[in-house]
Amino acid sequence: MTKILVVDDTPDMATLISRAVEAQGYESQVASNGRLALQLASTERPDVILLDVMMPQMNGIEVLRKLKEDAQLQLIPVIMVTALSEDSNVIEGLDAGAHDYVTKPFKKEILAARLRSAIRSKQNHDRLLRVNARLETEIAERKRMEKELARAQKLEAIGHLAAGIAHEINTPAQYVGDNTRFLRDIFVDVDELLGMLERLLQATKDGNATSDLVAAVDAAVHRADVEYLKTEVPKAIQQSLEGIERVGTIVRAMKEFSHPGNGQKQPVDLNRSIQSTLIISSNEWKYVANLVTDFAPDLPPVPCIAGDFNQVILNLVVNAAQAIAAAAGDGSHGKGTITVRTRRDVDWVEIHIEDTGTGIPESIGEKVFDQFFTTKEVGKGTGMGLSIAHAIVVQKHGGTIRFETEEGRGTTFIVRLPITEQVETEPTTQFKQAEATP
Amino acid sequence: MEHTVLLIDDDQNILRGLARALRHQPYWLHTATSGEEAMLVLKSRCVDLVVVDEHMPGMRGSELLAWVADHRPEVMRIVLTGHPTAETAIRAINEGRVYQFFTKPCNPAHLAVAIRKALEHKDLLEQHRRLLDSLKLCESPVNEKEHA
Repeated sequence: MTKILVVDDTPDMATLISRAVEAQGYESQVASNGRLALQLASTERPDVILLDVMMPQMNGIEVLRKLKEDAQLQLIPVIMVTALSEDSNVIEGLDAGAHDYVTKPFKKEILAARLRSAIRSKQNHDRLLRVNARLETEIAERKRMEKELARAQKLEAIGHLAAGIAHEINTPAQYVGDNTRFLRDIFVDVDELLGMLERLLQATKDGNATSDLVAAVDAAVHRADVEYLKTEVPKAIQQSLEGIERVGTIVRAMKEFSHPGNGQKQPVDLNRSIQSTLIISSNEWKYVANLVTDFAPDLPPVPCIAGDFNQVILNLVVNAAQAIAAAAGDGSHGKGTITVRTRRDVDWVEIHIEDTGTGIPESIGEKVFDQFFTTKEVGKGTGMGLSIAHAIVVQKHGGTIRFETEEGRGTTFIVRLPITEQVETEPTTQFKQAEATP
Repeated sequence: MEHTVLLIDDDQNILRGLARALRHQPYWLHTATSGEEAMLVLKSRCVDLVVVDEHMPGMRGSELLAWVADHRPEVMRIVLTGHPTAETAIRAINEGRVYQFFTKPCNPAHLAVAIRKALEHKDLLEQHRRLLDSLKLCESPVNEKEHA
């Protein structure tokens, strides 16, 4: 039931107002002075307070100010009750935060109408507070989900890469194994041949080398296929070393890429970072594209969260490869090209990732940076890659990311990062929200 | 009759390593570094068996296998891939109708055994076909008489 607190030091007047209030179906309580009014306000939490201005000790304005200072009570609407002649009190009261006023003597209908208005206002206010509280929880939840998604996208990308990296390692493992077995097998023949040669040497020193022995050595030379071994053994060794070098390169690049870091910015050699990302992602692009790198040699270290930066480059390179694959079909018309450039532009470093893929249709434009926006078929894209790249570059590094595109010709993504660290304006990761389409 | 085996992989080092491993095997070895090149070899000479990598620029291994299964069904087919996925295996079996599926790194001795078995199987199939043909030749005069 709606509760109204009536504050008046004159008992007759208090009773009169009380009755008028109850006649409207509200519950009324009376406080005969300011202190009591504050007490009842905090224990009873009335929906509206009808507050007499002229009271001894603590007057209505003082009570009103105290109410407005109290976070728990400030939202209760207060209607000032004043005599007609007390205009200045009305102004002072409204300035101090009163909701409304009535003048004595009052008509019951007017009091009733003003009460209804105050109650409505209180109800609206309460509803807004509840909605706001719910919105705040939802926003917090959403931010948490976005963080989770960013992490999930990274894990997904790494999981996908792991399969490619396994392939990159399995291939040299095959031929290093083949070559080593080859060397083991031929050594049996070579060992036998060496034995014969030792015997021939000894016999020659002793002066009793027989033609039979020479013939046996000749046969062993023939069996071992010495001419073949002379050309194949150095090649087998050379190619095995290449294989070992390849595995080493991949493993070093993996270490660079996964760079645990501490989530803080540190000076990063971007050329090296990009190179590592290109190596570990090679299985994603090498079947569809040739890679051209053009790295500025004078690039200073850039304050960067290396792991996040690598994720940006990975997303852009994988996109470039997929755009080329989409344009080239089965690749029977030859490979496309991915060109990666770095440049210094005064206080900025610029990274260009250019592809000869399908290009981005004009109708899509900036939507590519929206969360969950994807044109890739199911299973190929989550619509998170560019939105995360945008969040990392813009929010976390104070940089910019944009693209130039021509349908059917290709796309260039341009990432710009400041060389000198800037004060972070937005500490949490935020995504560009997809615009709701009506 | 000497058999011919064609190895297809985009990595030259793989081809050279396998050629060394299989050098004493009783068949001719040829190599190709792409599906397209392999198709040219298959069209120009007699090949009994192919060992195909899956991931190659241009034509994928499974596409080549499907082509061989359709156009040269008598050529035996073996997969050797460094990136085995369920999708690759399903395509190799359903479209390429492969004889065996190997993953890198594999022991070349196992590969050599599989190649030999596949070639024996092929020889038996051909013998079977020849026998069926000669049986038909024997039967046909009888049939003609019955119809007469």
